[in-house]
Amino acid sequence: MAVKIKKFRRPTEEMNMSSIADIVFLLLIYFMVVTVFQQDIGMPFVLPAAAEQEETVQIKESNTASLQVTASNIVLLDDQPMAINGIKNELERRLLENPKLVVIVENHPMSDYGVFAAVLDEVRLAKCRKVAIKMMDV
Amino acid sequence: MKFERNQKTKSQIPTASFGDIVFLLLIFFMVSTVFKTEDGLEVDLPRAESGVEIKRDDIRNIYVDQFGRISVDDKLVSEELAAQIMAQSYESNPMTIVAFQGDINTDYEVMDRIMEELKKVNAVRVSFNNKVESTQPKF
Repeated sequence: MAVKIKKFRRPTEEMNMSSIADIVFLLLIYFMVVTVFQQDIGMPFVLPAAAEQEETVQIKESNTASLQVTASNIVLLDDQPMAINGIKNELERRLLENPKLVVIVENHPMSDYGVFAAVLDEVRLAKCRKVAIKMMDV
Repeated sequence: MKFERNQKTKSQIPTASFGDIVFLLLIFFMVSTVFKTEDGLEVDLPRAESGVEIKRDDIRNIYVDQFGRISVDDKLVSEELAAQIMAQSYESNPMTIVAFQGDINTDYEVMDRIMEELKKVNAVRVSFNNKVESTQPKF
């Protein structure tokens, strides 16, 4: 008599894997949407074109604020020494008094670009729209 | 009469490995993707509060380091050549913004020379790029 031996079989336990792909896709799409590449930050400025330079505009001196950066990186506002972070308030005050104010930023050739950028930042913070930048004649 | 049941053969594609394949593809593309980047020069950008975001597509960078070296497209160039390259960009895209990646210790003279050259070729839209203002002193 043959004895039937039942083979021991492990019960197959399988996880349903078909949804893994969907989850991965979802993650992929989520990160694609959420990722923001670091943007460049800058202070835009429009230079006067060479053609425009020929037709010089006369500005009344009373309508100008002259910012000068000296060779030793000292900032002068109308020939008065000025702390860089005080420029904003001063220009805001002047702009209220005279909305036609034109700010002229004049830099010594040996002055640092960083000081110029800091000064320009202050001018922009004071919401001055008319800004001219130039290099000092030495 | 016994009819044989028309039993459809169960055909199943095992989908368990599909997730792995997607992962593999994802990892492959993550590794092989190279973003177009410009190494430029090592510059210490000025800090400013009033900076605004500038659209990446329109930007052409000019790196100016503290020694007054000028780099465009990872090549050291003169002021004139930099302006010429920018002029070409302007022809293909009039919205081009020339972004100065200037070091805070650069002499202003260098920047002015570049700007004068840019004016000559009518590349007038510029930007002085900066870091976002932190709590550190401005300069």
